[in-house]
Amino acid sequence: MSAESQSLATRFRGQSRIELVRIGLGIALLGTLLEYLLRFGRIVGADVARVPYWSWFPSPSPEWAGVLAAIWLVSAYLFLTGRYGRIAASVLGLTLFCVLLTDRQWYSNHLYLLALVVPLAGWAEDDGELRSGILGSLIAVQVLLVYLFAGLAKLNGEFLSGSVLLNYLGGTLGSSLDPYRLLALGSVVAELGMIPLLLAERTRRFGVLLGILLHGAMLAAGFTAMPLIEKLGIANFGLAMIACYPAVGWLRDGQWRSTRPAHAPEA
Amino acid sequence: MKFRDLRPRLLAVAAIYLAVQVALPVRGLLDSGVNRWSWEMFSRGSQQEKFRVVRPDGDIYTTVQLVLGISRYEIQYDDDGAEILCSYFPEALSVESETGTVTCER
Repeated sequence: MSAESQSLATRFRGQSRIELVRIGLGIALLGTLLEYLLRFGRIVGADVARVPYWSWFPSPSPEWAGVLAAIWLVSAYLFLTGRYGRIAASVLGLTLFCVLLTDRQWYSNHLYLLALVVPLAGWAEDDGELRSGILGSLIAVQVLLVYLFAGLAKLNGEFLSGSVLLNYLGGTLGSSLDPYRLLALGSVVAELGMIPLLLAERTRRFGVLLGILLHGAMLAAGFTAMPLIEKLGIANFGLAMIACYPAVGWLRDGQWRSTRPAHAPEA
Repeated sequence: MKFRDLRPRLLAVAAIYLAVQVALPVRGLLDSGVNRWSWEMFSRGSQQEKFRVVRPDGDIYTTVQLVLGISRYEIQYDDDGAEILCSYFPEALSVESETGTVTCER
Protein backbone atom coordinates (compact mmCIF):
# COMPACT_ATOMS: atom_id res chain seq x y z
CA MET A 1 0.00 0.00 0.00
CA SER A 2 1.42 3.37 -1.00
CA ALA A 3 2.04 6.03 1.60
CA GLU A 4 -0.75 8.14 0.12
CA SER A 5 -3.37 5.38 0.16
CA GLN A 6 -2.23 4.32 3.63
CA SER A 7 -2.71 7.88 4.80
CA LEU A 8 -6.19 7.99 3.23
CA ALA A 9 -7.11 4.69 4.88
CA THR A 10 -5.94 5.97 8.26
CA ARG A 11 -7.88 9.16 7.74
CA PHE A 12 -11.02 7.27 6.77
CA ARG A 13 -10.74 4.98 9.77
CA GLY A 14 -10.16 7.97 11.99
CA GLN A 15 -13.11 9.92 10.66
CA SER A 16 -15.39 6.96 11.01
CA ARG A 17 -14.36 6.53 14.64
CA ILE A 18 -15.30 10.05 15.74
CA GLU A 19 -18.31 10.06 13.44
CA LEU A 20 -19.58 6.85 15.01
CA VAL A 21 -19.20 8.37 18.46
CA ARG A 22 -20.99 11.57 17.43
CA ILE A 23 -23.84 9.80 15.62
CA GLY A 24 -24.44 7.50 18.60
CA LEU A 25 -24.29 10.35 21.09
CA GLY A 26 -26.49 12.51 18.86
CA ILE A 27 -29.21 9.84 18.81
CA ALA A 28 -28.84 9.37 22.58
CA LEU A 29 -29.20 13.15 23.01
CA LEU A 30 -32.45 13.21 21.06
CA GLY A 31 -33.75 10.13 22.89
CA THR A 32 -32.87 11.68 26.24
CA LEU A 33 -34.60 14.91 25.20
CA LEU A 34 -37.78 12.93 24.53
CA GLU A 35 -37.45 11.31 27.96
CA TYR A 36 -36.85 14.68 29.63
CA LEU A 37 -39.86 16.27 27.95
CA LEU A 38 -41.89 13.70 29.88
CA ARG A 39 -39.92 14.41 33.07
CA PHE A 40 -40.30 18.20 32.67
CA GLY A 41 -44.04 17.77 32.28
CA ARG A 42 -44.29 15.90 35.58
CA ILE A 43 -41.79 17.82 37.66
CA VAL A 44 -43.08 21.32 36.92
CA GLY A 45 -46.59 20.18 37.94
CA ALA A 46 -48.24 21.86 40.94
CA ASP A 47 -48.69 18.62 42.86
CA VAL A 48 -45.02 17.72 42.88
CA ALA A 49 -42.44 18.76 45.48
CA ARG A 50 -39.55 20.96 44.35
CA VAL A 51 -36.18 19.56 45.32
CA PRO A 52 -33.57 22.23 44.55
CA TYR A 53 -29.88 21.82 45.36
CA TRP A 54 -29.88 25.30 46.87
CA SER A 55 -32.92 26.83 48.60
CA TRP A 56 -32.31 30.21 46.93
CA PHE A 57 -32.37 28.67 43.46
CA PRO A 58 -35.54 29.60 41.49
CA SER A 59 -38.07 26.80 41.04
CA PRO A 60 -38.20 25.32 37.56
CA SER A 61 -41.06 26.77 35.54
CA PRO A 62 -42.63 25.42 32.32
CA GLU A 63 -41.04 28.36 30.45
CA TRP A 64 -37.57 27.53 31.80
CA ALA A 65 -38.02 23.86 30.85
CA GLY A 66 -39.18 24.96 27.39
CA VAL A 67 -36.15 27.18 26.80
CA LEU A 68 -33.76 24.41 27.87
CA ALA A 69 -35.55 21.87 25.67
CA ALA A 70 -35.44 24.19 22.63
CA ILE A 71 -31.70 24.85 23.01
CA TRP A 72 -31.14 21.13 23.58
CA LEU A 73 -33.08 20.17 20.41
CA VAL A 74 -31.37 22.67 18.10
CA SER A 75 -27.85 22.01 19.35
CA ALA A 76 -28.35 18.20 19.36
CA TYR A 77 -29.46 18.41 15.73
CA LEU A 78 -26.41 20.50 14.82
CA PHE A 79 -24.13 18.13 16.77
CA LEU A 80 -25.62 15.07 15.05
CA THR A 81 -25.32 16.56 11.57
CA GLY A 82 -21.83 17.90 12.19
CA ARG A 83 -22.71 21.57 11.58
CA TYR A 84 -21.06 23.98 13.98
CA GLY A 85 -20.10 20.82 15.86
CA ARG A 86 -17.78 22.43 18.42
CA ILE A 87 -20.16 25.27 19.27
CA ALA A 88 -23.11 22.86 19.43
CA ALA A 89 -21.17 20.48 21.69
CA SER A 90 -20.16 23.31 24.04
CA VAL A 91 -23.73 24.68 24.20
CA LEU A 92 -25.01 21.16 24.84
CA GLY A 93 -22.57 20.67 27.70
CA LEU A 94 -23.75 23.88 29.38
CA THR A 95 -27.43 23.14 28.72
CA LEU A 96 -27.26 19.62 30.09
CA PHE A 97 -25.48 20.79 33.25
CA CYS A 98 -28.18 23.49 33.62
CA VAL A 99 -30.83 20.75 33.48
CA LEU A 100 -28.90 18.61 35.96
CA LEU A 101 -28.51 21.44 38.48
CA THR A 102 -32.02 22.94 38.21
CA ASP A 103 -33.71 20.33 40.40
CA ARG A 104 -32.43 17.16 42.06
CA GLN A 105 -35.24 15.20 40.41
CA TRP A 106 -33.82 16.09 37.01
CA TYR A 107 -30.64 14.16 37.72
CA SER A 108 -30.00 10.97 35.82
CA ASN A 109 -26.78 9.12 35.29
CA HIS A 110 -27.06 9.10 31.50
CA LEU A 111 -27.76 12.84 31.36
CA TYR A 112 -24.64 13.40 33.48
CA LEU A 113 -22.67 11.07 31.19
CA LEU A 114 -23.87 12.98 28.10
CA ALA A 115 -23.01 16.33 29.71
CA LEU A 116 -19.45 15.06 30.20
CA VAL A 117 -18.72 13.26 26.94
CA VAL A 118 -20.59 15.36 24.35
CA PRO A 119 -18.27 18.40 24.71
CA LEU A 120 -15.25 16.07 24.56
CA ALA A 121 -16.60 14.41 21.39
CA GLY A 122 -17.37 17.78 19.84
CA TRP A 123 -13.79 18.96 20.16
CA ALA A 124 -12.01 15.69 19.32
CA GLU A 125 -11.00 14.77 15.79
CA ASP A 126 -9.21 11.71 14.55
CA ASP A 127 -6.35 13.73 13.15
CA GLY A 128 -3.48 12.16 15.07
CA GLU A 129 -2.98 15.31 17.08
CA LEU A 130 -2.31 15.42 20.77
CA ARG A 131 -5.47 17.34 21.68
CA SER A 132 -7.73 14.87 19.91
CA GLY A 133 -5.82 11.98 21.45
CA ILE A 134 -6.35 13.36 24.94
CA LEU A 135 -10.04 14.23 24.40
CA GLY A 136 -10.80 10.88 22.79
CA SER A 137 -8.93 9.02 25.52
CA LEU A 138 -10.90 10.93 28.16
CA ILE A 139 -14.17 9.73 26.58
CA ALA A 140 -12.81 6.18 26.70
CA VAL A 141 -11.61 6.44 30.30
CA GLN A 142 -14.94 7.99 31.29
CA VAL A 143 -16.88 5.03 29.94
CA LEU A 144 -14.53 2.54 31.60
CA LEU A 145 -14.85 4.43 34.91
CA VAL A 146 -18.64 4.24 34.67
CA TYR A 147 -18.44 0.45 34.31
CA LEU A 148 -15.85 0.18 37.08
CA PHE A 149 -17.76 2.19 39.67
CA ALA A 150 -21.16 0.80 38.64
CA GLY A 151 -19.75 -2.70 39.21
CA LEU A 152 -18.05 -1.79 42.50
CA ALA A 153 -21.18 -0.04 43.86
CA LYS A 154 -23.14 -3.26 43.30
CA LEU A 155 -20.77 -5.27 45.47
CA ASN A 156 -23.05 -5.00 48.50
CA GLY A 157 -25.17 -7.60 50.23
CA GLU A 158 -28.48 -5.98 49.33
CA PHE A 159 -27.80 -5.99 45.58
CA LEU A 160 -26.12 -9.41 45.48
CA SER A 161 -29.07 -10.96 47.36
CA GLY A 162 -31.20 -10.18 44.30
CA SER A 163 -33.76 -8.13 46.26
CA VAL A 164 -32.95 -4.86 44.46
CA LEU A 165 -33.56 -6.39 41.03
CA LEU A 166 -36.66 -8.20 42.30
CA ASN A 167 -38.15 -4.81 43.26
CA TYR A 168 -36.99 -3.05 40.10
CA LEU A 169 -38.29 -5.73 37.77
CA GLY A 170 -41.58 -6.06 39.61
CA GLY A 171 -41.26 -9.82 40.03
CA THR A 172 -41.36 -10.53 36.29
CA LEU A 173 -39.09 -13.54 36.82
CA GLY A 174 -41.15 -14.97 39.68
CA SER A 175 -41.08 -14.42 43.42
CA SER A 176 -38.04 -16.59 44.19
CA LEU A 177 -34.83 -14.63 44.72
CA ASP A 178 -32.67 -17.18 42.87
CA PRO A 179 -33.02 -15.83 39.30
CA TYR A 180 -32.53 -12.25 40.54
CA ARG A 181 -29.43 -13.31 42.50
CA LEU A 182 -28.03 -14.84 39.33
CA LEU A 183 -28.86 -11.70 37.33
CA ALA A 184 -27.26 -9.53 40.00
CA LEU A 185 -24.05 -11.54 39.98
CA GLY A 186 -24.05 -11.61 36.18
CA SER A 187 -24.43 -7.86 35.90
CA VAL A 188 -21.52 -7.22 38.29
CA VAL A 189 -19.27 -9.66 36.40
CA ALA A 190 -20.31 -8.13 33.07
CA GLU A 191 -19.72 -4.53 34.17
CA LEU A 192 -16.31 -5.24 35.66
CA GLY A 193 -15.41 -7.60 32.81
CA MET A 194 -16.15 -4.94 30.19
CA ILE A 195 -13.03 -3.02 31.11
CA PRO A 196 -10.33 -5.57 30.15
CA LEU A 197 -12.43 -6.84 27.24
CA LEU A 198 -12.76 -3.39 25.66
CA LEU A 199 -9.16 -2.43 26.36
CA ALA A 200 -7.48 -5.45 24.79
CA GLU A 201 -7.30 -5.36 20.99
CA ARG A 202 -7.98 -9.09 20.68
CA THR A 203 -11.10 -9.09 22.86
CA ARG A 204 -12.67 -5.73 22.03
CA ARG A 205 -15.32 -7.36 19.81
CA PHE A 206 -16.38 -9.54 22.73
CA GLY A 207 -16.49 -6.41 24.86
CA VAL A 208 -18.77 -4.64 22.38
CA LEU A 209 -20.98 -7.73 22.17
CA LEU A 210 -21.13 -8.06 25.95
CA GLY A 211 -22.02 -4.36 26.26
CA ILE A 212 -24.87 -4.68 23.78
CA LEU A 213 -26.09 -7.81 25.61
CA LEU A 214 -25.77 -6.12 29.02
CA HIS A 215 -27.70 -2.98 28.09
CA GLY A 216 -30.18 -4.93 25.96
CA ALA A 217 -30.83 -7.34 28.84
CA MET A 218 -31.43 -4.42 31.24
CA LEU A 219 -34.05 -3.02 28.90
CA ALA A 220 -35.65 -6.40 28.14
CA ALA A 221 -35.78 -7.47 31.79
CA GLY A 222 -37.58 -4.33 32.89
CA PHE A 223 -39.69 -3.83 29.79
CA THR A 224 -43.02 -4.97 31.19
CA ALA A 225 -42.51 -3.74 34.76
CA MET A 226 -41.05 -0.26 34.21
CA PRO A 227 -42.88 2.92 33.24
CA LEU A 228 -42.07 4.50 29.87
CA ILE A 229 -39.70 7.10 31.34
CA GLU A 230 -37.58 4.41 33.00
CA LYS A 231 -37.49 2.37 29.80
CA LEU A 232 -36.38 5.40 27.81
CA GLY A 233 -33.75 6.12 30.45
CA ILE A 234 -32.27 2.63 30.27
CA ALA A 235 -32.30 2.68 26.47
CA ASN A 236 -30.64 6.11 26.33
CA PHE A 237 -28.03 5.14 28.90
CA GLY A 238 -27.13 2.02 26.91
CA LEU A 239 -26.99 3.99 23.68
CA ALA A 240 -24.74 6.68 25.19
CA MET A 241 -22.37 4.07 26.62
CA ILE A 242 -22.17 1.98 23.44
CA ALA A 243 -21.70 5.15 21.35
CA CYS A 244 -18.50 5.80 23.29
CA TYR A 245 -16.96 2.36 22.66
CA PRO A 246 -15.13 3.43 19.48
CA ALA A 247 -13.33 6.04 21.61
CA VAL A 248 -11.49 3.24 23.42
CA GLY A 249 -9.46 3.03 20.20
CA TRP A 250 -7.78 6.34 21.09
CA LEU A 251 -6.68 4.85 24.38
CA ARG A 252 -5.45 1.62 22.80
CA ASP A 253 -3.56 3.53 20.11
CA GLY A 254 -1.81 5.61 22.74
CA GLN A 255 -2.66 8.73 20.76
CA TRP A 256 -2.72 10.77 23.96
CA ARG A 257 1.06 10.44 23.88
CA SER A 258 1.13 11.83 20.34
CA THR A 259 3.94 14.18 19.48
CA ARG A 260 1.97 15.88 16.73
CA PRO A 261 1.14 19.48 17.53
CA ALA A 262 -2.40 20.52 18.46
CA HIS A 263 -2.82 23.55 16.16
CA ALA A 264 0.12 25.11 17.94
CA PRO A 265 1.70 28.11 16.27
CA GLU A 266 5.11 27.60 14.77
CA ALA A 267 8.07 28.54 16.90
CA MET B 1 4.67 29.36 21.50
CA LYS B 2 5.96 25.88 20.80
CA PHE B 3 4.04 22.63 20.86
CA ARG B 4 6.06 21.43 23.81
CA ASP B 5 4.57 24.27 25.86
CA LEU B 6 1.00 23.06 25.19
CA ARG B 7 1.47 19.41 26.09
CA PRO B 8 1.85 19.79 29.89
CA ARG B 9 -1.17 22.10 30.04
CA LEU B 10 -3.39 19.70 28.11
CA LEU B 11 -2.24 16.81 30.26
CA ALA B 12 -2.79 18.85 33.44
CA VAL B 13 -6.40 19.66 32.45
CA ALA B 14 -6.98 15.99 31.62
CA ALA B 15 -5.47 14.95 34.96
CA ILE B 16 -7.79 17.33 36.87
CA TYR B 17 -10.79 15.98 34.97
CA LEU B 18 -9.81 12.40 35.79
CA ALA B 19 -9.09 13.22 39.43
CA VAL B 20 -12.64 14.59 39.83
CA GLN B 21 -14.11 11.63 37.98
CA VAL B 22 -12.33 9.23 40.32
CA ALA B 23 -12.75 11.19 43.57
CA LEU B 24 -16.56 11.61 43.33
CA PRO B 25 -17.36 7.90 42.82
CA VAL B 26 -14.82 6.84 45.45
CA ARG B 27 -16.53 9.17 47.93
CA GLY B 28 -19.85 7.65 46.89
CA LEU B 29 -18.54 4.13 47.46
CA LEU B 30 -17.46 5.03 50.99
CA ASP B 31 -20.94 6.36 51.75
CA SER B 32 -23.91 4.07 52.37
CA GLY B 33 -26.90 4.75 50.18
CA VAL B 34 -27.17 5.93 46.59
CA ASN B 35 -25.28 9.02 45.51
CA ARG B 36 -25.37 11.27 42.49
CA TRP B 37 -22.29 11.76 40.28
CA SER B 38 -21.06 8.29 41.35
CA TRP B 39 -22.55 5.85 38.81
CA GLU B 40 -24.41 3.90 41.50
CA MET B 41 -27.48 3.13 39.42
CA PHE B 42 -29.57 0.15 40.58
CA SER B 43 -27.03 -0.65 43.31
CA ARG B 44 -29.46 -0.34 46.25
CA GLY B 45 -33.16 -0.58 46.89
CA SER B 46 -35.70 2.10 47.60
CA GLN B 47 -36.00 3.74 51.00
CA GLN B 48 -39.21 5.54 50.15
CA GLU B 49 -41.50 3.39 52.27
CA LYS B 50 -39.35 4.23 55.27
CA PHE B 51 -40.41 7.91 55.29
CA ARG B 52 -43.59 8.57 57.28
CA VAL B 53 -45.15 12.02 57.41
CA VAL B 54 -47.07 12.56 60.69
CA ARG B 55 -50.04 14.93 60.37
CA PRO B 56 -51.90 16.84 63.14
CA ASP B 57 -54.88 14.46 63.04
CA GLY B 58 -52.54 11.60 63.81
CA ASP B 59 -52.69 10.18 60.31
CA ILE B 60 -49.47 8.97 58.84
CA TYR B 61 -48.77 9.62 55.18
CA THR B 62 -46.30 7.17 53.73
CA THR B 63 -46.48 7.52 49.96
CA VAL B 64 -43.55 9.82 49.41
CA GLN B 65 -43.25 8.70 45.81
CA LEU B 66 -46.43 10.61 44.94
CA VAL B 67 -44.91 13.99 45.71
CA LEU B 68 -41.65 13.33 43.90
CA GLY B 69 -42.14 13.79 40.16
CA ILE B 70 -39.66 11.04 39.47
CA SER B 71 -38.90 8.79 42.39
CA ARG B 72 -35.12 8.92 42.47
CA TYR B 73 -33.37 6.87 45.09
CA GLU B 74 -30.65 9.51 45.39
CA ILE B 75 -33.17 11.97 46.83
CA GLN B 76 -34.39 9.50 49.41
CA TYR B 77 -30.85 9.13 50.72
CA ASP B 78 -30.24 12.90 50.89
CA ASP B 79 -29.64 14.23 54.39
CA ASP B 80 -32.41 16.82 54.02
CA GLY B 81 -35.07 14.39 52.73
CA ALA B 82 -37.19 14.91 55.85
CA GLU B 83 -36.97 18.73 55.58
CA ILE B 84 -38.11 18.56 51.96
CA LEU B 85 -41.19 16.61 53.02
CA CYS B 86 -41.83 19.04 55.89
CA SER B 87 -41.84 21.96 53.46
CA TYR B 88 -44.05 20.13 50.98
CA PHE B 89 -46.67 19.20 53.59
CA PRO B 90 -47.37 22.49 55.45
CA GLU B 91 -49.57 20.70 57.97
CA ALA B 92 -46.99 18.00 58.81
CA LEU B 93 -45.85 17.78 62.44
CA SER B 94 -42.87 15.56 61.84
CA VAL B 95 -41.28 13.15 59.42
CA GLU B 96 -40.13 9.77 60.62
CA SER B 97 -37.45 7.83 58.86
CA GLU B 98 -35.07 4.97 59.52
CA THR B 99 -32.52 7.39 60.95
CA GLY B 100 -34.91 9.13 63.37
CA THR B 101 -37.69 11.67 63.61
CA VAL B 102 -37.40 15.24 62.34
CA THR B 103 -39.81 17.78 63.82
CA CYS B 104 -41.14 20.17 61.19
CA GLU B 105 -40.42 23.77 62.23
CA ARG B 106 -43.16 26.29 61.43
